[in-house]
Amino acid sequence: MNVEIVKNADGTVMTAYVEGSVDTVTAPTLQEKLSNEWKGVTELTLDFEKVDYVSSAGLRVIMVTDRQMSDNGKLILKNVNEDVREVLSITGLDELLNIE
Amino acid sequence: MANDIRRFMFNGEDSLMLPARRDAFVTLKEWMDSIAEELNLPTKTRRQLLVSADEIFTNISSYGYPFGEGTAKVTIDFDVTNAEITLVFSDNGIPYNPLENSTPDISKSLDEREIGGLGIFVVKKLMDTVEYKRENDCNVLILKKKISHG
Repeated sequence: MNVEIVKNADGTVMTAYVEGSVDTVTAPTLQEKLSNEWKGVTELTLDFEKVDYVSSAGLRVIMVTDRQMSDNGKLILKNVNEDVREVLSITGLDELLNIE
Repeated sequence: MANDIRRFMFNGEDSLMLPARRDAFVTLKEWMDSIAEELNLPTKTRRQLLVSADEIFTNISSYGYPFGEGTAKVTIDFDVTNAEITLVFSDNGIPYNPLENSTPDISKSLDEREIGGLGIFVVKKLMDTVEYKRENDCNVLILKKKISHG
């Protein structure tokens, strides 16, 4: 898995472009990269265009990040493939998250 | 007539023995990806199998051996007659049937939810059948999924 993080000039808007699988091995890395960067961010987008699949370890990262962002901003999930959406739907998270 | 069942080999062995540590999932993933390619599995099925394997292996790695290190054995069969894949996970850790886990309350908001506990629930939904048995002091989990192209 790879993550590329892009922020606007004042650091309030951040997009994380994630590539590969967000699974039991890679999820902690994604969590760490997001946590290192989310200070001061009010709009965080996870762009999943190049994500293959997400297991519950990845769902956990999404839930923790959403919880973090809900205090001062929002989390947006973008370009989610239909199989990732299936997992989000099974767990009811599709109803609770901002998915574009 | 007996079904035509094919057992996948890993480095000349008829199963893959892994240390029960989450990072070892990399090896299982590589093996499963190569099998998916060989069987020309639909992307959706490949992803469903990988997510399910991830959940089961993570469970064994996280809870199976609280008093030390252990292993998990994985076998993969393909029933050619029925176009069905079977994944079997065995470990000799503490007796534990994850299927008896209570179903998470997915109607709750994110704030109210317990983080975790979703894994087995996801596996039950993605696979056609999931069975548990305790056999020869081992936990055995059997996952089955039919392959449908189209």
